[in-house]
Amino acid sequence: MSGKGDGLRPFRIGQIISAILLNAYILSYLQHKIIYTGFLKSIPEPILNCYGGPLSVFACPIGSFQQIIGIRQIPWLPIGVFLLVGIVVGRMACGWVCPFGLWQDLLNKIPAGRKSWLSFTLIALIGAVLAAGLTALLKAPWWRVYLYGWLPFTLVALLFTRLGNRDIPARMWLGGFLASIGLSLLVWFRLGASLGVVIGVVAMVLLSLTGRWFAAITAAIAALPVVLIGPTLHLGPLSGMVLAIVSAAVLAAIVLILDRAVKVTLPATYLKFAFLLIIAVVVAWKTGEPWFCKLCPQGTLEAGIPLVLWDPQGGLRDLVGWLYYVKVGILLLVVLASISIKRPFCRLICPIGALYSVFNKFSFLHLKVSSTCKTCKLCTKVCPMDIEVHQNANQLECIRCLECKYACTPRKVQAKF
Amino acid sequence: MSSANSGLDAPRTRVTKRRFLFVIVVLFALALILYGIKRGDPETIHRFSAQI
Repeated sequence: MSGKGDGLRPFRIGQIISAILLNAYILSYLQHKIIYTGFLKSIPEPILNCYGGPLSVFACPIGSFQQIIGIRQIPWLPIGVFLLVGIVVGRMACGWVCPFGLWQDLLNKIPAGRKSWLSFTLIALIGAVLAAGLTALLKAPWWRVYLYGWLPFTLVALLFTRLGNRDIPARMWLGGFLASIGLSLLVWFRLGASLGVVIGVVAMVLLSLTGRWFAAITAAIAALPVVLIGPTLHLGPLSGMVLAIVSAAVLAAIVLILDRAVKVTLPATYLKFAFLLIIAVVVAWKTGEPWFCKLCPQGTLEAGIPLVLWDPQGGLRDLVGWLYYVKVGILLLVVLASISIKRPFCRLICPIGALYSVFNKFSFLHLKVSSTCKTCKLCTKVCPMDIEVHQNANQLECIRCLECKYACTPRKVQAKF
Repeated sequence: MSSANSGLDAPRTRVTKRRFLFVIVVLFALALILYGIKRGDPETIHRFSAQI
């Protein structure tokens, strides 16, 4: 794999520098202060970097956005920052500045497919060592950590490393998507907002990574909790379990029929708009809490895990509950998915990426492909977002890393202001 | 001759229009940021981001 494309590119240098600068508050360790609380924490940075992290210097824009929405106000400052950055450079900040993009890029360097056994063994061993450390630090029963933590982790690692490098399926299934939303709302109303949001998010992520049959099965499973509302609807024989089974069958059929006959489709990458609108706007407004932050894998990586492991003032470990384990599970899923899929979080989930992507077509900085392009597809091969650059260089997913520009030896791809 | 000239001018007009729109949107974004600051967004952000 060594070759021209593996050198340290300008965007990679930008990623490394920004990851260090945005997380440069080492005094937190030296002074035993948990997080930085100075003036800079009032300023939203332009990318995803958790403000709850012990090293974090600035405020996360999507966290700030939700917090202001949570108190029923319009987040003018974060919207202004998104608009300003978006209109000047489009989604370039995702490629050049975002630390979570860097982590995903590095994870994608782990060999999958043909060298999968080597990767799998390494991942399983690292997982075992981490589990041992976790057992000692949290004084948790070792069998529970291995049974509920390490074992599922290694099984999913086996799946992703065997799959090899592949693209996200181009389409996701509308029926399954709606069923996920329905399931989420149902669980929300019956069992509370927390469980509802978590189930909706997990279902949508699963759906976006899968195909028609899995979507149909998920839709059917999603319909089963109708059993909960059956008795309250007074439908006679169609109450309870009968109603649930009928709903499950109908939903599964709808998913299959829509996909095969009507071809109603929704590209998987539009999923991040659902996360933006539903989780970061509607749920934040409704519950007054930043639910995207509560589940954000970047938050778990930069704040959740370090704070609980470090716990300088004591007491944080006692706060660990079921939501913490869900967060760690989501992080592990994103980590493992990043091995075989390029930037899955950026393409499917990130609400900041969704916001910036809208500006790609109008931003001052834009890519231009020469009309004399020979369509050798070298640009697509090096693209970290798997874009067909020669067809549409400024599509929503382009993070303006300029890999295509450097890879195109005849210089047919240009970045212009 | 004049039609040829207008053909040559078309891309330039497009670029000028694009730059004009760009400046308008940048000014609008800056106005939003200033309005947010005036409304007290930094204090709200700080209140939440500087706590665990």
